[in-house]
Amino acid sequence: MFSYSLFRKELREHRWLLLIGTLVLTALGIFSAWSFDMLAMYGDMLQGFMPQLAKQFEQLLADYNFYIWSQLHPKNLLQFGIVLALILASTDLAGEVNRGSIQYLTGLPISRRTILITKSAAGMLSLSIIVWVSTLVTLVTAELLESGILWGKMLAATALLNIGLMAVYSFTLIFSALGNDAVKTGALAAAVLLIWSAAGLHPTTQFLSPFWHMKGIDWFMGTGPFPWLSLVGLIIFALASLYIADGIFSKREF
Amino acid sequence: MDFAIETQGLSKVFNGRHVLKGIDLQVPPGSIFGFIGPNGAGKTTTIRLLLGLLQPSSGQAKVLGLNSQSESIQLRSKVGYVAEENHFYPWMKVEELVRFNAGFYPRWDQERARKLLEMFDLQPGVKVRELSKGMRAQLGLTLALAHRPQMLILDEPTSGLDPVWRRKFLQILTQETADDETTVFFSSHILSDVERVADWLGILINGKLRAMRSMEDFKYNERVVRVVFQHPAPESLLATDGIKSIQRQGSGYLLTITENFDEIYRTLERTPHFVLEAVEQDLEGVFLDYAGEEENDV
Amino acid sequence: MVDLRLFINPRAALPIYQQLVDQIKSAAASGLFPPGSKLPSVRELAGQLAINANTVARAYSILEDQGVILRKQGVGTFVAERSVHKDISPLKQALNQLLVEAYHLQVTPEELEKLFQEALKRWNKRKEE
Repeated sequence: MFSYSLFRKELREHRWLLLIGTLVLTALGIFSAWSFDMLAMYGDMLQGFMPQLAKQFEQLLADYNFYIWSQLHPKNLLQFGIVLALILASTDLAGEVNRGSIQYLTGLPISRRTILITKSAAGMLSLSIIVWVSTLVTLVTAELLESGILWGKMLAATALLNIGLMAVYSFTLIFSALGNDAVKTGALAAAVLLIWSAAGLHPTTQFLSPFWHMKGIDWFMGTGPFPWLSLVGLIIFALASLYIADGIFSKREF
Repeated sequence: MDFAIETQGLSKVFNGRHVLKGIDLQVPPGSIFGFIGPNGAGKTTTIRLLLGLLQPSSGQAKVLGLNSQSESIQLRSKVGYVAEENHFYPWMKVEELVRFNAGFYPRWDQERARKLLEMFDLQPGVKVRELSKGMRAQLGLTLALAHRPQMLILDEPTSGLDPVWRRKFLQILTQETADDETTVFFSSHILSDVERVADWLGILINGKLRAMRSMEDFKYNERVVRVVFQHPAPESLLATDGIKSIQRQGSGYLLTITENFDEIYRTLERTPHFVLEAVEQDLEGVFLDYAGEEENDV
Repeated sequence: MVDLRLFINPRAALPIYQQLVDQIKSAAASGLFPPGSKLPSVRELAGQLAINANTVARAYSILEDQGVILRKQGVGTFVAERSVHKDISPLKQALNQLLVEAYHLQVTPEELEKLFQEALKRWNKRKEE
């Protein structure tokens, strides 16, 4: 069900994505941690010019933890993470088709399921590495600059987001299993996810959006308990997607 | 005898098109079986069905006693397969690809791989994308042989290669399979290659297996005889089983024989004649006969 | 080991194994492969010529039967010393064929004999070289 040779090759192919993804997110994270003080300054300045904007700033700046989280999880990590998940998933299967290597790969004496499981493992591992390395560096930086970071809460939020991104990866893998071209697959999956994210705009339809579940805003802001249901829901969503992708990929003839 | 490859009524339909029409293949173990046919005849489809990379529309196939559909993975671990196109992973170096490939075969022989690379003059540090088509074919054969398979299945292994590469490829192939234990099944439309190397022959035209016999049997029986009879030829003689076609040539006949050569020739010898000579056809001539016949059938 | 510059034409009417037999016999007779010289193994020759090993095996088998070569188990295959016992019916057959050809070409017996003497002379001359 798992091939070490394939796993190593996958990670090798991801190495640039891993490097750039981690660097970019880490840079964004460090910048957020560092910019807190600067924004406090701007806040004071704005007080004089635009009191309304100053009010918004106030909320943001009231809590360092909240600030860090708001820049990372619902914003940078989420958006960038989704892009990474899309790229990884669409190149994993559809990418091999348009590069011409799919015939060689499927000709080797391993099952389609083994290919899918091994590739997913590598893809999800790569995603996780990027998410965790960048977040940990950011949090350590923030701790050093201002201290007072609520580690428990931050790590839990990161874990929730990580699982969410794995679900996005798995969902995109369905398109990848059907597609012949990584770019078209990625674009299609992105379009679908974009439309789907619209459900998050209104409170009544929020629960339909996986993105809303990944953010866990209510819990982080203190207005709700830890979203265990969201977590479980995302895991089930990921597993179901993998199952569907496996069914599609196993039947395709290349 | 347990055949190395055996199919029964193997058929495949693609989008309503009947690509393979119920073929019954029997490949003797230890033989080198040349599977010839024009482009589009269904050779690649046959091979992919044998390996279990495609599902048949009907019929079944067995390779080394294993069912192509249900035991495909086990089958593929015992067979060295070289596809027509060998893209591999262009970014890998030769040695990286070899190491990658090795991970899928428990019976991998790294020493054999190294020796073959040397014989083929393939540099381990060169990237696959820098290799020519000929070199990639050789790399494909190296990967296929290195896990000591009981059988090699090659799809058009020398097509698109210039004579130098073709020669080298065939040299290593005949050398490495000189024992009687490795069966080789290869498809080709390059008849001269098949003539040198194969000891069994299968002709596929338009999805149908038109002939399947040993090369020796084939060359012996598939001959043309020129005969000028002294008296008008008896109808019964010319209608003998095994005479595929008759052509009048001046006062004589050109008989294309496909079976029972000995019997027919002896009969002709006993029939009063002025001229009687047997001409051996080369594979191309015979092949064109079969191909032309198929067209007329349609 | 001798350098076997054999030329195989797979398209020719003559079966490949027969071409091999003829060429090796010719090379042995002309002194190109003196008795005792080592021939490549079946596998080696098959590889050199890019032909089926069974074809080579068959040729070697025939040559061995005809006493042209000798196979020593575990050591190799060698060109044999010429021995006297031979079955000369192939020779008789060849002579008959020759006479038939000559007849059809309307070559007189005298002319034929002259041709033979000339060929023999040329042959001996080449052997001396």
